[in-house]
Amino acid sequence: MFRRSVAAAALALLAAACADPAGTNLPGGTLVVAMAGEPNTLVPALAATASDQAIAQQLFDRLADLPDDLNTLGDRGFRPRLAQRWDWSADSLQIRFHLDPRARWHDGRPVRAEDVRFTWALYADPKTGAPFAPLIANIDSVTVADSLTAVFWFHRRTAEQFYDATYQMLIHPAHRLAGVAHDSLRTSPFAQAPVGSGRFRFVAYQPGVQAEIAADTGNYKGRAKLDRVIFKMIGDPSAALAQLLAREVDVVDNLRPEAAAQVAARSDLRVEPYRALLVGYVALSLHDKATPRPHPVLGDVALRRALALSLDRAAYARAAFDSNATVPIGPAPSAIAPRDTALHPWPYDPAAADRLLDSLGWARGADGMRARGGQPLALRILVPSTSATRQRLATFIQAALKERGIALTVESLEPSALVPRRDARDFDLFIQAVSLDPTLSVLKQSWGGANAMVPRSSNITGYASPAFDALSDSAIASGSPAATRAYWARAFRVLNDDVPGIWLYEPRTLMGIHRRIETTRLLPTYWFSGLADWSIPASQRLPRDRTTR
Amino acid sequence: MHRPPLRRFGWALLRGAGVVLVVAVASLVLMRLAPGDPLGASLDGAQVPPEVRAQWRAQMGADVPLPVMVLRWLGHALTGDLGFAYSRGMPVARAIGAALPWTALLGAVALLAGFAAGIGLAMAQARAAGTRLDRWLGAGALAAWALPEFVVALVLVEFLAVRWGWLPTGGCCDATIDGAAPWALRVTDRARHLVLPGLALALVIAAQVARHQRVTLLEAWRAPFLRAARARGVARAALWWRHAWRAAIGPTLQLAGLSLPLLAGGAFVVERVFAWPGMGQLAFQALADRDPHLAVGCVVLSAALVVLGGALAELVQAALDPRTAA
Repeated sequence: MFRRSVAAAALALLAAACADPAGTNLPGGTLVVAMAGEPNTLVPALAATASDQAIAQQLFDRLADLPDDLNTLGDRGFRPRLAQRWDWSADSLQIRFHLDPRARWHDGRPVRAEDVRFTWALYADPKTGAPFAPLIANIDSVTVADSLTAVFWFHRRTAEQFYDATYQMLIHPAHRLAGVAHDSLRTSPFAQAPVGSGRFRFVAYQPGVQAEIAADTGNYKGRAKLDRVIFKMIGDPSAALAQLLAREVDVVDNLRPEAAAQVAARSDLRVEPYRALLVGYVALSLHDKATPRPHPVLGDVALRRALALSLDRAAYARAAFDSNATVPIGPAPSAIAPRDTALHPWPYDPAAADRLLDSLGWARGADGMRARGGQPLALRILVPSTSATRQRLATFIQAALKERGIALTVESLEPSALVPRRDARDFDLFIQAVSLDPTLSVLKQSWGGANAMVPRSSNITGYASPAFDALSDSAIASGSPAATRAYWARAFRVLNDDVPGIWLYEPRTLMGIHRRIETTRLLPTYWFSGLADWSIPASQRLPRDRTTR
Repeated sequence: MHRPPLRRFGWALLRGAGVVLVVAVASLVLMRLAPGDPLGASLDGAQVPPEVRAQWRAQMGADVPLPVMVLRWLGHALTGDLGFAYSRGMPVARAIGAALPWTALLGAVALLAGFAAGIGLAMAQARAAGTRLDRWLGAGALAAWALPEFVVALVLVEFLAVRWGWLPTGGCCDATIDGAAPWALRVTDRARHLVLPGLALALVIAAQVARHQRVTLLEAWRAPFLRAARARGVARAALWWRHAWRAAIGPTLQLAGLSLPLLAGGAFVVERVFAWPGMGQLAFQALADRDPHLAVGCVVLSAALVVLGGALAELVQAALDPRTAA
């Protein structure tokens, strides 16, 4: 009997070793990520930039995670996180979230419904200055039914109620922040040493040097597969590339195409492309600076269509990004844009552009440049001096418009000087690159009439269309995902017809990464969303993968 | 009127405090007048609603009248509070306190190495004045001085770090060596990371110092007191190092004093190429982000060091050459 037990145990051990002969499934390893910008804050409610979010999203949890297909309508595909399950009321104006009783803050205290209520109050309070507060305006209140049940009450039914309640807010610990004035959050001790419930916990932040997070080994969702992640502050892209090539960092995001070629040529590195929720387009100023008067040239929709017809956008995307970009059909990336076969970007048709310009009275002079009533057809395009890509695109556009007889002056400014010009609508054309949330609702900020003449709003073109407003409002208010998609498709058609913008590129972002790193699918929302499930097989770990802590 | 050196030093510092005050006020005014939204550059592309942005501006005090802003800053500064660096999410003192040691370390190493090499080079040139060696060394120093720092830095990175792998490409330290690592490992790591940026800075400093020092050494060599010492039979080495160099060190000390701001201001280009987390990068980013408190804090620190450096240089020169104390 004893011998049989020993034999059985030995067989079991042998089976286990065969299943994982190299111990590849053992958690561990250190990931060093090159971070281009310094985080402005470590408080999730105030996080606005990608650097802020990169750290906040590792330390803090949402109630539920977005599905991989980025569906934001209804609750289909959402994955439980802090909330184990949820129930809808019969009238769909309430959602009850039942929290996972195992969830703990990194200081050991349990996560409770009061934390959820507190978090909503924090985000919703204007004094906090949470950048995404307007996006949760449909939430009327959050109440506590019991210690593990938080109830969200909504003003009205919409298709994105669930998304509003879960995506926009990272849950904060009430017991750590109860005594902190909401307008002092940025300067509070919590901001220097945040305490979350995520699969990573905060370790240290050395300003200008690096931020370090480590696996929360007792986490209710399971330990992160890495021991630690170090975000190393490297502002210069060339310096970041040099450190990747020298194997001093493991990950560099947003590689330029020429840098990607260098990385791909290395046997110890690889390039991973992924689609971020990013689009670039030419914003056309529809008003005479910040006044309600129409722009003397671009106020004419026919002329704007002529501009769109003049540009071979597919060629520019190829020239600027090689094979790593497509032309979007609207001001949103393909991952979330409506799938409407009737929706097409304006084609490249220079002959049609010429006919349109001729019909508008813009006649060519002896020098080939157009004028009307003694007024030359001359425009200015604004680009940030920090973006080599946008500067290049501006020169392509300048050359194309010159062939159509339109004089275009390129003004390249450093961002701090450019932003006030853009905010004051002191431009004719502006190449904008925007990073979007995974919902089309945010388009109301950039294209909604309510923001058309609001200073410093995202609606830099001053576009105001009752048709677009009605369709987008219907899309947002609709309780039916199918109807929402249909309304957005029609709204996109209105935008395409009105041409307040010329959609230029939707890039694939290129990430340089060390070969020993096993990643999960890089999500378009943020590539670092699945960082807790990245791993380094034990057999491939380097000496620096071992921590001395 | 002849004042004792220490009293002169004290008066120099007092005058310097006035200079620093003027610089601080001027910086505040210029930051307010400069176009750009605080945090605007870092928020470009992020969808932050205008009402939230306006609130952040209000929290930063960006909308108070300029005289009020200046008086408020001065009042707080007198109590040691330099304000809050909104682009960093921490008090200005903490942001500067984190960057300053790195710049001081790099600056000190570069200055020491650069001055030592420059003085040595100048001495070799002066002793071989008029010969081919003097001409070659002079041409080399001129070339090193003429090369932009970033060119030197990029060449060093490409060959010594990326291609040959002898030294790290950048940063101040290995990201994975934390505070719990053995002391010796940490010191070695820091030293390895210091070599390339220190060399990039030291080369230019050495070239500058060599050119100045050579001229002053040759002037001193031709002075009557040196001729007298030669006539007395003093050894050649002692003539150069004990007599000529001591007389010629004044301008070099002035140069050293004026180089002290490197210890606080940093060298932006070198810091950028090597991702060195110093004051140069901090100040540049503060300006780019239009973070007024942080930018002014950096400027004030640099101004204070210029004042201190100049006063210290005068004090040391007076001690070495009492004639200059008159």
